[in-house]
Order: sequence, then structure tokens, then C-alpha cells
Amino acid sequence: MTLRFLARRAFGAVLTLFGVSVIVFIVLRMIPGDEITVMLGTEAAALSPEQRASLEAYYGLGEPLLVQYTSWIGNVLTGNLGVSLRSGASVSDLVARRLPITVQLAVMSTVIGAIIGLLVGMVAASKPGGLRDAGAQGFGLLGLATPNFVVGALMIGVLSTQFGYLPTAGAYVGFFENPSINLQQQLFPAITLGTALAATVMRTTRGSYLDMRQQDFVRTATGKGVHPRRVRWRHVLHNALIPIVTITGIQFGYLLGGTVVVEEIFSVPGLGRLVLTAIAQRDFAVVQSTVLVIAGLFVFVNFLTDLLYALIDPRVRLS
Amino acid sequence: MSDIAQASSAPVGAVPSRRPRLTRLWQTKSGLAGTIIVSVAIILAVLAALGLTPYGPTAQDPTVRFQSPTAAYPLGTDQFGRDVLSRIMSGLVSSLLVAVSSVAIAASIGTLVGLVAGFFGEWIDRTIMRINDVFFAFPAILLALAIVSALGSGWRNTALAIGIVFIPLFVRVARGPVLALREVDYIQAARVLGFSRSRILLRHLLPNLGSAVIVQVALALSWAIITESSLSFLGLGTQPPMPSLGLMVSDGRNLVGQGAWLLIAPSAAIVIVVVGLNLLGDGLRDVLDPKDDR
Amino acid sequence: MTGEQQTVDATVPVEPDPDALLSVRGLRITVPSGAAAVEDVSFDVHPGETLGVVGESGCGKTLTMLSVMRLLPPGTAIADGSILLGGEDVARMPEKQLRRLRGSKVAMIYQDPMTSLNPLMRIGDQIAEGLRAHGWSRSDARDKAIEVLGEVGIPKPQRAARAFPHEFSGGMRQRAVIACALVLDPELLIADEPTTALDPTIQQQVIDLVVQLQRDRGMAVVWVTHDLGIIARLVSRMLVMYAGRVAEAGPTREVFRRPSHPYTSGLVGALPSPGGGREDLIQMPGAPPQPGQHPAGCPFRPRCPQAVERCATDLPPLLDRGREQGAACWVPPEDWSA
Repeated sequence: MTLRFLARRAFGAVLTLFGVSVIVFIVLRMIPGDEITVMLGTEAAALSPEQRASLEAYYGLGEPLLVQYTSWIGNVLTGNLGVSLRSGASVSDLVARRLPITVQLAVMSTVIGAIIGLLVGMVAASKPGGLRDAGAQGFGLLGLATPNFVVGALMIGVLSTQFGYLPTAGAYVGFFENPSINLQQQLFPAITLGTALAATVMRTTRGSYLDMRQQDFVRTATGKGVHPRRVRWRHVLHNALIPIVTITGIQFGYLLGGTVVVEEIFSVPGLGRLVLTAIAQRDFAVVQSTVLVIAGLFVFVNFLTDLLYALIDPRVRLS
Repeated sequence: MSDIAQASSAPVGAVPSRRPRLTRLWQTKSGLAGTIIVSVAIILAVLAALGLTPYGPTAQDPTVRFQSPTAAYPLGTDQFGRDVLSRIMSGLVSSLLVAVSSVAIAASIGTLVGLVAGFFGEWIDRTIMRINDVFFAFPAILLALAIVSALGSGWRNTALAIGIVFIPLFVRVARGPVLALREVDYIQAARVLGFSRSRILLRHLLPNLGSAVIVQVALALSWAIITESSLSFLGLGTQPPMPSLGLMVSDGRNLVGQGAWLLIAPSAAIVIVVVGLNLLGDGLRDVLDPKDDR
Repeated sequence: MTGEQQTVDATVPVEPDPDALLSVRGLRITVPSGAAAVEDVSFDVHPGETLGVVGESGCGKTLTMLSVMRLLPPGTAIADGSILLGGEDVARMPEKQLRRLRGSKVAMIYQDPMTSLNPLMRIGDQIAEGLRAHGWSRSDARDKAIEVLGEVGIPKPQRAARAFPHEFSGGMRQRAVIACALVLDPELLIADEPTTALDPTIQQQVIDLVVQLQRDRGMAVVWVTHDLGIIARLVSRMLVMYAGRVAEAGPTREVFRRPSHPYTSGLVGALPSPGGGREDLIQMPGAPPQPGQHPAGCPFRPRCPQAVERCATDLPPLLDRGREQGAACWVPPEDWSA
């Protein structure tokens, strides 16, 4: 992989991140009226003078918007995400504690979704028009049409009434405290989130697998006397993987958005739940910085996708 | 097999059919199914909007709490004895209202911006597309959440938020064909003839985007319904007492022990409407997308 | 009464030829709709021989040759007939045995070098892959692949083996495809219009390369083409196909000197100087019928200047015209109107 390719992609990612920060900033300035009081309403009175001063300094209140923005982004760049208006806790600390939980959830659901999607897609493509293909297509249609919260709510409904298991019962246990309980707690949220991804990956896999299967180079390989299994994996699937990787990367954003909903349903204390609580409490310092972190995570994953893409496809790497 | 029979019965190399496109839409399996589902949803919503639900959507009747589905209450009743079918019909009203308004906002602004980007090209295009990429960097629901939290909840703000979030989808859809059309002879000719830019944009380029935008509208409507019901589920969309499908699912999951239908009915309603819109989108793409003309 | 039912063609006896490397009899290939795209095609290829197969696109020549390797696209199938390759019937061979044959006994080079190589695999690996499939060790296969790359005229084969297809020009890619095909020393090479996608200057180089490799290795080559120039210069015997059937077969010299099917006559008449120019087939008025839509009688009749009444009802078999020449036409050349 050339350094220039890396540099170009990294530069693009940084530029996007900058834009993201501007949008987050603008969106949260759409609230009409004087900042801290409007943000907090009656709660503003609960702040100690020091807290108020530090907040005003952090947001550069009263300053022109440009100054406010630069002071905020300057702080963010030095790792200071601000202070919670409600609890006075450092947002950086809050995020640091919850980020790994959300990342774990996102990674687990991506793995689950990608594996299920790939397998079902290949089964569907192995005999297009057959019964299993029709089943897979139905799964794809339903998977795309069922919102995360419906999957989650139905899953909890079935688990609690049919199996007497309540995934939301009990406090969340970190992975390093007790991996087996942690994985149990994350499993159903991950399956919930992975469903839509599985449907998308399945559709893409089916389409690109069928497309690649009839390419000339597949015929060339067969004509060399190569075993059909190797033809399928080394030639068909390898080439079909390119659009699959792309779509998985794009879907990761959808997945991160879904964590907000799924973490709420399954009481997983991740970033998504942090945002929701902050919105409910009108704690905009937390909302602003957390939304930025989540979007940043997505930009980072897209960057990783680009690299993965280049690893698979030499044409991208060397062009 | 039936596809083959159809294909071979058509004369080879015949001039592409000039039948009205809607008829062709109903000849595709997904187009027909999608049209039926979406029409039924619209009819139910219109009836509800006219107050023609079997019961009042908010009318409580303590004597019929947690009724299983019966002839009188086809989808059962909830913890207050309210008719679930009537509530779903009213919920459809707010879902469709938000979906249609938000997609109208997104499609009109997005198409226009995409048109401008594609037509002027150069730095204007680069800037617009760069901004577009930034919007794509947000998980849609997160950005919608942030906007709603700033604006406040309620269906109007929900529609506005979803509308803003979906603008980039239409920018991308509109820009592609314009870039291609820009070089086409008759557009060049219009330029040479000295037609004004706005005339070329609106009279010559815009009509050519119809197909792509229409397909995108169907799909965006389905995503808008998913986003709206998700926001409502989280308590940030449509506010009570206005019934909303997302809120019904949210309530239903806590009452699933008393009545599974309270969870299943609104869930099914959302999924069916979204499936219908997806099928409609697929059908429209089959009929309208010139790339698929064989 | 029976005089008109002359025994079919001296060039292709009914029974498969035991001395032939490839002996195809009564081949029928159906497309997904069930219609026959190739029907009743018979021919032989002897060891070391060069056969040419000509015809417009869609006449079934490529399908015929793909069926020899059992590489027909999904849904397209061999419905009838036999394809004896070295005495074994490819048409009824189990997949495992087929794999042993592909590449080692018969190999193919394809029309479009841009699409016939896997874009994600290094050239050397793609050549070595065939060897690996036939039991070679990894290192032997690698060495052999580099050796063959040199043989097909690719400079710096060591480096070229590590390149990806997109780093090669069209001509280079076709050389790589040829290397893939020849790495196991097949007895029969099928060249399916290997030059149509290339620049004219490169075309000659690729043709020369195949001719030279054929001379070096003594393999048989089937040229599938619509370039009569190639046929005239390279090929000892030729097969003219029309609408999925053999229209005419015979020694190239005889067929060019005395075409005995009106279709061949039209083709040959288009050549500016016999054996010299490399003109494509002329565009005859009309188009060949689609599979499944053949008219009754002779499929060429709607375009035929010599058609008689009988052509509308009876399908002509390949009739003997002497000098090892056969043609599927009711009207012998001496009766043709000028």
C-alpha cells in the first residue's frame, strides 16, 4: 500500500471530521435564546459560580460564534470534551468509560451481521430462483424493513414470555470483570443490531456473487482444471468481496445510529444511551461532544474500510 | 420459467413499449404488491384523519381492557381499553405525515442542490459534494436526534429534522444524471442558443431527473418511517396524546405479558408499510431505470 | 427416388474417428429457453492439425468450442451428441475426470484478455494455479510459470509474475492468458477469437506467437474467428457455421477455390485477394435467425440467392461435394445462377 494513498485518505477523513464538528456546533446553536439558561432552564440556578464560569469559558459564551467554535474545537483537540452541565463530570471521562461498550457492541453486531449476511447471500446465490433463494430474499426484505427497535422489542418479548429470560435484568457487567456474563448481555443487542446489516450484506453478497460468477476470469480458472471449491472462493468470492466490504463500511454508520436505540432497549450503558440521557436532561455539553465522538468513530471506520478495500483490490492500491 | 415464457412471447428487437409506465409498474410483482400495500396504508390513514376509525383512538373504556383480538376489536385493546386498530390507523396518520413532509423537504432541496452542483461543476460541485460527505458521516438517526433535541420534539420538528438529514441522499441522486446530461447535445445546443441558466436547469435538466428522484422518494419514505418511529419510540418524535406507532411498540413491550398483540400489531404495521414502500421502490426502479431496460 | 438422399459427407463419417484427437458427433446445445443454439454439429481434429471455425457472431461457434471443455454458461447444456477427446467422451464425463483433462489435454484462450484474468490475482499465481490443480508443488509451479511467461515473450518474467493484470497492456494480458493455457502442454488449443479485442498491430504478434508455439509443441489448434484472413493463411481445414449448424466443411484450399454453400461463397467473395487481406466477413443482407426461431427448411434460405422451392421445406444435411468437401445445400454449385 502506497504512502500517498494512505495520506490522501487520511487527509479526506480529517477534512470530513472538521465539517462534522462544524455541523454539530451549528445544530446545537439552533436553540433559540441565551445559552446556559436556555439549556438548563431552572437548573441553571443549581450551578455553582465556578461551574458557571468554567462553562462560559469553555463555550466562550458571549463571544462571536467563530471564537466560540475555535475555543471549543481547541479544547476538543487537547482531549477536553467539556463538563456535564448536570453533574459537572468531565465529558471526556464519561465518553472514555462508555466508548468501549459501544465499540464492543458495534463490532459484535458487525461480525454477526456480516457472517450471517455472507452465508445467507452465498446460499441464495448458489441456486438463484430456488426455494432457499426465495427464503433469503424474504429475509432480506424483512431485515431491511424492520427497524432496530422493533427487532429489539420483539426479541425481549419472546425471550421474556417464552423463555423467562430478561436481558435487561441485572446491572451491566464489563467484559474484563466477567467476560461470560458480559458476552451474554451484549449478545442479544448485537443480534438485534446485526439483523439489518445481515439483510444488506446478504443482498449485496447475492448480487455481486451472481455477477462475479459469470465473469470471464471464472471461466478461465475453471478451464485450467481448478477445483470448483477453489474457483468459488479464490475467484468468485474474492472479487465479490469488494462491494461487500464497501457496503459493510457504509452500514457501520447506520449501525452506530442504531446503538442509540438498541442500548436504550437493552439498557446497555454505552455512548448512545449517554446521548439519549443527555438529551432528556438537556445537557448539551454532553450531547455536542458525544455526537462528535460518534460521528468521528464513523469517519474513522470509513477510513479503515478504505484501507481494507485497498488490501483486497490491487487496482485501488496502485492507481 | 414464466419469465422466459414472457420474454420469448415479445417480438425480439421490438421498439421499447410505450405503454403508460404505471401499467408497467403493476406488471412487476414487487410493483403491484408495493402499490397495494401502500394504497391500503394511505386509505387507512385518510379514514383516520377524517375521524372514521372504528373507535376514538384515544377513547378509553375500562370495561374492555386487554381484550384479545375479537370481531369487535380486530386487533384487541390496550391497558386503557382503547381499540388497537383505531390507534394504529391514527398512528399511520402521523407516520405518513412526518414521512411525506420530511421527504418533500429533502427531495425539493436536495434535488435543487444536486442540480446546481452537477450543472455548474468545478469548485461549486466540489464544495457541495464535500459538505454532502460530511452529512453522510453522521448516522442518520443521531443527526436527527441532535436536531430534534435542539428544536424540541413534536411532529413538525421531527419532519424538519428528518428532512434535513435526508437532503444529501437527493443531492447525490440528482447530481449524477446532471453531470452526464451536461455534455449531451441538446443541452449544449440550449447553451449555444443562449438560453438562461435557470431555464436550462429547470426546463431541460430537471425533467430528466424524474425517474431517479421518484425511485429515491419511495425508498426515502420507507427510511423516514423507520426514523420517525424510532424517534417516537425513544419519546422524541410524535408526542402523546397523538398516537404513534413507535410509541405503541414502546408501550407494547412492557405489556407483552398481558397481551402479545399490543407489541405485535404496531410492529407489524410498521414493517408492512416499510416493506410496501421498499417493494414499490423496487418496482419503480425496474420500470423507470433505463439501465435495467433489456 | 433415393438418389436425392446422398450419403452424408465424406469428411465426417457417422462413427467417431478413433485416430482423431477430438471427434465431435451430432452435437446439440440448448440455451436456457430450451431452443437449440447448436444442432447436429460433427467434426474431427487430428493431432497437430489446425482447424478453422468461421461464422457470424451468434452462429454457435463459440458455444461449440466451449462445450469441448464443458465450460458452457449456466443454463446452456449439451443436449445430445458426443465429444470424444482422446477417446473419452467429454459430454458425459464426471466433473472430477473433467478437471484432469482441462488445462492438461485441452486448453483455451479467450476473446477478451481484459476480462479473462482475475483482477485480484498476480499473473504468476494465475499461471501457477493450473499447475497446482494438476498436482505440481508450489515452488515447481512458480518456476514453471516464470519460464512460460518468458516463452510467450513477456520481458522480465520474474517481475511480470508478481504483477497484477491491470498493470499489463491488452497484448501483454493476452500473452499471459496464452501462458495460462499452455503451461501444461495441452494437445489441443482452442483459440476463440483471441485477437478481436486487440489493436491491429498487436493482433499479428499474438497470431504469430500462437503459430510459433504450435510449431514448437506440435499441438493441434482450433481457430475460432470471423476473420477469413486468419483462416486462409493458417488453417488446413475449415468449418463454416451458420445458425448453429455446419454449412460447409472441407480443406481450406478447396473451400476457398470452390465454395459449395452460397453462404461460404458470399464470405469468400468478400476477400479482396485470396489468402492476402485480412478482411472481416462482409455484411450480407439480412441477419441469421435466433435460436428457437429457425424457419422450416434451410435456415439460410431467407438470405440465399440460390434458394429453390425445396429449401423452404426440407433441411439440407451435409452433402458430399467431393475432394473431402461437404456442404449443407440442396443446390450444387454447378447449378447456381450467376
